[in-house]
Amino acid sequence: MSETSDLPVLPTKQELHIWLTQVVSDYLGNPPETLDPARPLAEAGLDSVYALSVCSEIEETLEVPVEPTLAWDHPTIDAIVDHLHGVISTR
Amino acid sequence: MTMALQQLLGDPWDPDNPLGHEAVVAADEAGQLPPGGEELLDSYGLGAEFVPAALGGRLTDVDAMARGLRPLFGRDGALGLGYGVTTIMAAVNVWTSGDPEQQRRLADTVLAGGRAAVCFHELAHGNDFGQQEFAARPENGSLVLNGRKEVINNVGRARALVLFARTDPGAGSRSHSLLLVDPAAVAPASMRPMPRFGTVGVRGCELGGVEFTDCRIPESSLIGPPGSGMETALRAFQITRAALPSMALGTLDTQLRVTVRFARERRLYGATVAELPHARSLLATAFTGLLTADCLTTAACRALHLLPGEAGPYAAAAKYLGPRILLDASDGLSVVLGARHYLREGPYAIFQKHLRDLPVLSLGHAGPLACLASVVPQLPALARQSWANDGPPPPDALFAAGGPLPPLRYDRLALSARGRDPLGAAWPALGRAVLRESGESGGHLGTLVRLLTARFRELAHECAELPRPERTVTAGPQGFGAAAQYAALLAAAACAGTWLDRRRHSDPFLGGTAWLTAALHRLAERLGSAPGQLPTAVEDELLAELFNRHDRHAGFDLDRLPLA
Repeated sequence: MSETSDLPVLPTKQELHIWLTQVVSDYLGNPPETLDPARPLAEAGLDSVYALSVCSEIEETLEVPVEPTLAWDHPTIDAIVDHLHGVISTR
Repeated sequence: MTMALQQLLGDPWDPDNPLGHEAVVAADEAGQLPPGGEELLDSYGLGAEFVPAALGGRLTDVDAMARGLRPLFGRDGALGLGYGVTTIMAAVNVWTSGDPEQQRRLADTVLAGGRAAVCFHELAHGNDFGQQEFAARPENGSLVLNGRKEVINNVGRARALVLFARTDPGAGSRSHSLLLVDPAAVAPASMRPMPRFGTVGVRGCELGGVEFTDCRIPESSLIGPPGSGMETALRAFQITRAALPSMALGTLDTQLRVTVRFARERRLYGATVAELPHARSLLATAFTGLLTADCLTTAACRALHLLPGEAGPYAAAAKYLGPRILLDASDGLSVVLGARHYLREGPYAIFQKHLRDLPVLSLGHAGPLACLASVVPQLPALARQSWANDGPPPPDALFAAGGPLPPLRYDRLALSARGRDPLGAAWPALGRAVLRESGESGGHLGTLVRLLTARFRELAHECAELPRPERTVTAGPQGFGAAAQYAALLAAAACAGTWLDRRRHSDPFLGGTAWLTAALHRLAERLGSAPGQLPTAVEDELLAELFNRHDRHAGFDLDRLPLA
């Protein structure tokens, strides 16, 4: 399974959203359409250590420093995307 | 500290020594700590080893602290766990995230000889701390506690409790907090001890439980901000994950010492057991394991000081592989001892006591799978960012067991190494340096280094491509297998780095290639890559050193300190 990023250097919020939903979907083994972007990911099964893995992948793909606790402090897909978009836009 | 503690513990073979082997076995039979043992440690002021120097204690250096406790674990693991380790396990959370007042209070308690109990565990949830139910509910400026904590060492005797509690009903990792509670200050009816849990090993430890019912504590009990419990624990416990297996080397030292004594006395088939090839191999393997575990746990403890942001995986590897090596060595030695390994009386009875204690040191406080689970999610980033490149080498001081260290920066312990792995990534270069310095590229050592490097490259590729579902606590054998292999490769790097350090210091045995060849051979076996048999000459050199140290009453670890 190839995991090269499909993201452009400066992704839009929508592009981030689609990418992140696919990433989380792969981790949880649930199809993307079943993931509610406003629902806490922990409720969907993304435990504390798993969340660190997601953050690591975000950091590598987007090439921005991301706190390992990103998914803890921004617990939904919407919240993560909002935060990341802000970080990318200001770098 | 080690020398003074050895003196204090006295001659282990003296039947009148209250902390001799005979007394320790008798106390274990009775399910108690050796009478007078804790008082003796109090008189020594051992508690100060767990309190930072800045707060009036003697703790400056995790490596030194852990090495210093080896003699105690060599005498009685229950005393080691009960007296000190559970206190340091609770305390690291406060040293990491407590406010000055909490740190002062806990320091005073421990310096005065008080125990702390670390209350994380609920039987229903095991290491899955995120699912815990024990709760602290805010109410009128206080917190109200409800729930149970089970199989907690010293909970009935502790003067300070560090409790992990749910402070938010939501799922997720900001829903728990750590609390520092003085059991003497709560309403007696609100806190009830639960019956003691009987265990096979560390029978002298008081493993109990505590049940809270509407127990009111001040809001100032919170250690760190609300919701920071998981984060603090994952950072602070790196200290104890690295230190505990280092301390436990003392246990294997005693087992090995007892077995060597037996092997050289006992005659079978016209020779002493120590002359029989199979027994020789088992003795040499156990000695090799002890040295390997020393290299790995030492590097992990020292990394906390030298590479604080990157030390998490090393601590997890130490806590996973260290006890695994010790348990395997213990099993091998029990074969040498034969029937005597399970006798609960007689001159070798201390062996079976340590045999039963060792698994607790492995399971207690983050079992092996939990440790691997914390590494698995990091493997892809470590592989992609560090293992393919020639990054900066690890500092030489990482391998200088017992040497000076900069202060521990608790605030720089991190949840993730974020792809940085100076130790693991250094394996290929360290392997090459070993072959250059030793001139043994054409021999067995050369074969091992090349095998391990090939395995390292393969693992790097596997981890870089690890599918997402394999990168978490619910990973299958692929994810966990990769993490276990990574731990073995870290151990190889630690052994190589230690050898190079000792070579530079012209150490006759540790700078010689026999022990390193044996160590890398056994690690290659763990990785499924071993090339045939270890040369007999290597084994003979190890045994000569082992028997020599036994006769000189010197420790079997890297330090070789004289015993009492």
